[in-house]
Amino acid sequence: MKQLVAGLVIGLTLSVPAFAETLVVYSAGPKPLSDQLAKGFKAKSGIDVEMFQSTAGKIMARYQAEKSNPHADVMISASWGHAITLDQEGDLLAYTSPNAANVPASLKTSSYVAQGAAALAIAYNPKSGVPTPQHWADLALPEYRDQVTMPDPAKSGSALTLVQGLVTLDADKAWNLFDQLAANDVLVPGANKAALNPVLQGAKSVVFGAVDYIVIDAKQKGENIEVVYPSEGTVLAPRPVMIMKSSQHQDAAKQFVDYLLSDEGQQLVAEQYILPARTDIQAKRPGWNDLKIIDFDAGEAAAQAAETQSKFAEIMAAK
Amino acid sequence: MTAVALPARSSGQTRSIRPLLLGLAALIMLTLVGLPVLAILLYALFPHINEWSLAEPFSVLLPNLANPHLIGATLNSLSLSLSVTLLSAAIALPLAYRRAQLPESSGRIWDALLMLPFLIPPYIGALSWMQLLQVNGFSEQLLGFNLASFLYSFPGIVTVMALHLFPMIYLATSKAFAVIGRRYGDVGRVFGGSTLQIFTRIHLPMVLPTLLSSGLIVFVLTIEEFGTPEILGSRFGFRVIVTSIHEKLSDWPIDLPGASVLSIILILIAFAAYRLHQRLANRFSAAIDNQQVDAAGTERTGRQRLIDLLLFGSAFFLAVMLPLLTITASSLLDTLSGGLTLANMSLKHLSGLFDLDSEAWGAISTSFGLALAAALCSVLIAILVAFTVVRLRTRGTALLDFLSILPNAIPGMAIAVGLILTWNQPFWPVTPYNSSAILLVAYICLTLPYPIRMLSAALKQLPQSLDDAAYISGASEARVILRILAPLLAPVALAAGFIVFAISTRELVSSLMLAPPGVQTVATYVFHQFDQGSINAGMAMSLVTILVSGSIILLGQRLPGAKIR
Amino acid sequence: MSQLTIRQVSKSFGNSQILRDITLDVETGSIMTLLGPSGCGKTTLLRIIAGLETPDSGLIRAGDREFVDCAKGIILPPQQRRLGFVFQDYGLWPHMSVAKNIAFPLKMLKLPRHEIDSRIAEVLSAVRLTEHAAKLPEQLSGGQKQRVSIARALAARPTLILFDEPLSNLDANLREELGQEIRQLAQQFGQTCVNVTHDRREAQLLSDRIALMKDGVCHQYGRPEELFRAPVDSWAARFLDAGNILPARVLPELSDAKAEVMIPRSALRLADNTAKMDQGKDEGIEATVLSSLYIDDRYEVVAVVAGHPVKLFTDRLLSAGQPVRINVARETLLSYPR
Repeated sequence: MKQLVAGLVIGLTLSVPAFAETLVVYSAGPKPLSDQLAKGFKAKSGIDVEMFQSTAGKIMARYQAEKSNPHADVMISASWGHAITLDQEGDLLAYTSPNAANVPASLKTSSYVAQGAAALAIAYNPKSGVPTPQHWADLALPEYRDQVTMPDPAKSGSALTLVQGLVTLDADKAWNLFDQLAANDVLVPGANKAALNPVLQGAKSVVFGAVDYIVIDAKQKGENIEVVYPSEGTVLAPRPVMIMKSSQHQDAAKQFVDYLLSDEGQQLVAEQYILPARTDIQAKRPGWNDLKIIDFDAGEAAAQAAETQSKFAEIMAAK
Repeated sequence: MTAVALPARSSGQTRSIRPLLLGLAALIMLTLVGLPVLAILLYALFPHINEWSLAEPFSVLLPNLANPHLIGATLNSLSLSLSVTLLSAAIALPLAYRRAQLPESSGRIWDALLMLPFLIPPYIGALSWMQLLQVNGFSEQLLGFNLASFLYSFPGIVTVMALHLFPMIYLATSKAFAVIGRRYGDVGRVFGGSTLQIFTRIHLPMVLPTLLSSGLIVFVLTIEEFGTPEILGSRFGFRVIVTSIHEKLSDWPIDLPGASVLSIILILIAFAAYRLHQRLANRFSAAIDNQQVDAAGTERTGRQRLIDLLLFGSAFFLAVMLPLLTITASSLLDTLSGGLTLANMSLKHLSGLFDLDSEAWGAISTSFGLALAAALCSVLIAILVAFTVVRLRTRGTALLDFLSILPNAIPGMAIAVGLILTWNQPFWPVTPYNSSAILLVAYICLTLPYPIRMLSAALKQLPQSLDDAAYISGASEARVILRILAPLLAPVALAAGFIVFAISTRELVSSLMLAPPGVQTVATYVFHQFDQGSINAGMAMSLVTILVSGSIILLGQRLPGAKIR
Repeated sequence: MSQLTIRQVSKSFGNSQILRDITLDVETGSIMTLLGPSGCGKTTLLRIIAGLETPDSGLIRAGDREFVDCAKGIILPPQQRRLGFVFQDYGLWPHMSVAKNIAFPLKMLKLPRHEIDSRIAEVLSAVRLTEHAAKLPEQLSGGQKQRVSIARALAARPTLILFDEPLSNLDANLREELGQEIRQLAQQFGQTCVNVTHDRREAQLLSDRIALMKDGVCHQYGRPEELFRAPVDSWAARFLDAGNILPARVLPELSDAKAEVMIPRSALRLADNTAKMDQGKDEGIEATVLSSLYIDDRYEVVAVVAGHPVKLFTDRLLSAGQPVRINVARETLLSYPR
């Protein structure tokens, strides 16, 4: 209680910006990673990091609402689309970290770079008794009728990326597959976790388009869940790191980005079973060489995102 | 009926403090509620107001309103809110009616127990219903059946939400039944009315004003509620306005102006509901003559005791025990996929909370401290506003009254955006933003409707002569409020404080948006566990919070001031 | 000497004028009652005197203190008027004991503790509630509550005590008793009182002077016996229930056929020998008994005269339907133009 009163008192006087070198970072999780990065960076550089930890949507909403008086120096989103939008609006500071040399070209631009990426995969509960799926299209088979969930591309940026990737690979085949999935009573309950939970709980058996590191983490914690990367390929959901043009601490922000892409920063990413952005860092999960990545133009896909989302929604509503 | 208002223009010399009180109440309400709501309205009209620019005015208005899904979502919102309100009233009324016949001792225990649903955050409640009733859920694992098809349907959502919200109506109407007393029913009985006739013809019309005003709160709360429609409704494609708003805020692309436009629809619906409520209340309000309220009811027969026990017991079981047991069971499960088996049980999630260096303790103390402060502030503000609205009744108090219900109607997310737009401006010499104080401001703003409604209703029951006698005795307005009204309103103020406390401890969406960097509350802790950690650990945290705040409320009921007169 | 002076007080709410140009004086140590039907403005006038309402125009003075002078913009707030007020619903604060209720106005006057205690003791003994000092209001009967309310008003030795229907919540026996008691206390403490009621009986019990009010104006003012003996018109006579009101034509010898007459009940006597009726002797007016009730040592008879009910008192038992003859003492008749 004392702490709180003190906190409130301090809080009320906080209107004066802190002059000590403090970096404000808005991050879309995972929380343990954000905390470790803040700690590690402080140890390395002596600069404090104030970490606002929320979901990708909420950090963006907060950033937008704060625009007349911005606070964020660096943002780490879980959605590549956010970076594209902010870059187009000219909100991002151009910076290429020397540590980004080993980041694949598809995961970096002149003004933002991936910290790491998740791959989209099939996750299934081996206890549920369904056959092990091998391909995306398997999930349209009668064995999986009423057993499949999928995150909603309207609520999950990674699911949107997957739809866009599969459409790039073969548009007709992809839309046809979604038609068949709809006919197979696929459940589209919401964001990533809403799609995964019913499978863990045994109400459903398979996730079409699970975020792989969350599933691997769950498996490590003893859940009955397996990840399958379909052989025809999958997409990555990269996590962009951005320095805001409005930042008053641009040098510290650059140091922070360097740290994220340093060996140490990338190791911390790997600890969370996320695919590190640098190809020379050993992943604790299927790495760059084990995944077949569908290559597509993220910028062009982003421009058509609304169209893709609504077409998908129509298909699912039509069932 | 002596309560004729003093004219607003009474000279400054006479009632110098009255304009001051009105001004203070207006200032507080406009600052806490008016400014953020105004910010949302402006954002809807001027999509670049966040950059302090009036560019492209009205450009987002039409595209959003022209969305073909909007009409469906609006109709869904309306039908959901109406159904939940009706079902809540249907559950609450028999309970409230029988409550007046119970002995005070057991009645107060039931009151406290039926307040517990407030403690269960709606999204946790919805998740636990899912875990209980879904295919291969707890009920299927233990008893061999599931109710998935019911749960994922319109009646299912309505039931889950009504079980969560009916206590709002129960608490208000049971007080009204107590005030009416038994006399009118006895008169009806003498003239040969049956129990049902007496209830529908005599008691129901008399509690109608209370029923309407508590029903209004349930209505706007349902319209605003996000967790349950999102979790259960998304299973069968049921979209309401709030889920559409959240879609605009949940992932790329973020559309704050669009969300503000949709929020305006909610504000309009709430305004319409408020006006309708006022018209109905004016039409049906019956003056209860100021007779003594007879204290003790007649002896209940053994059969009645049994019926009462069944009635209250089953309400308690459905609304409190089932969700709580499910939450408890989940918090004891090692893994989600392991199922409800002994081998899968452990205390690891619960004991994890009690690690001394765990963040859980920090989150709990932050939340409870903020909730306590919010309860205190909200109740004090509510006493001031209720006094202004009920007793001064000058011009402008109707606006105050409407402002006092608005936060119930606007999604927490939109309020949070409004608060950022308001308080993150460089021109404020002092601002709560970017400190824990903004959470306090948000909690007060979001919870103010409850204490204001409850205290206004209670104040209306206190005869004006109590104030007048004090004024004539030489007491100032401040002294009348502090020495006469505050002690008399204490039991209601305490109950209202508990509701504020309970809701503040679990307020999620605004906490996620507004918490300053590095600050965690219980709700954000639970959310992060759900989002990228373990559901079971999140459930463990919820359980501890519910138990701790539940105990605080039960203890508070035993305070000397809590005596219900 | 006049303790309360009211000059040309007017008040409207919205479009309806509640009070017009009320002018009244209340003498020191006397009780004045504002009597009238609901909506006549009497309660508003009382609340204006108390300071709970503000008049649109007019002047109110108590002793040498100006309560209200609209012309000068003076409106003294109720807190500074030093009044006592006794409410219909008692207005006792339920969370304070009897003694604390009485102490409250004394504390507002910042009297020393011992003075407060002695005044509480004094007024409690005056209203015979000394042993109830520590009780809460809810533990008292209605009559006791109203006596506490009176004690609270007396304790501060106010300029004026205002009563708002003080007896109407009490049952009939208690009413008479408490009415007497209030008069006695007012006399004992030398208090000037203004009382409001719609009940003529309550007015009779409590008044030295009565102001009969109708539609926001003072309709008639005077001692109780003046009002009840000579109501100024037939409306007043009816409202005061001062006697039987009949069309003048019922009494053939009254020439003005347009008038109504009021006959006091005491002016009506049953003709001694009803047997004479059979002989066709023209003594008194013909009537038929409607009802006869034994009340307070005598019979209260309602008889019908030419289709109009009249009430009179007698010591003879009559049965319903019985024809009677009634003598009228013409000198006490009052006649009113229609």
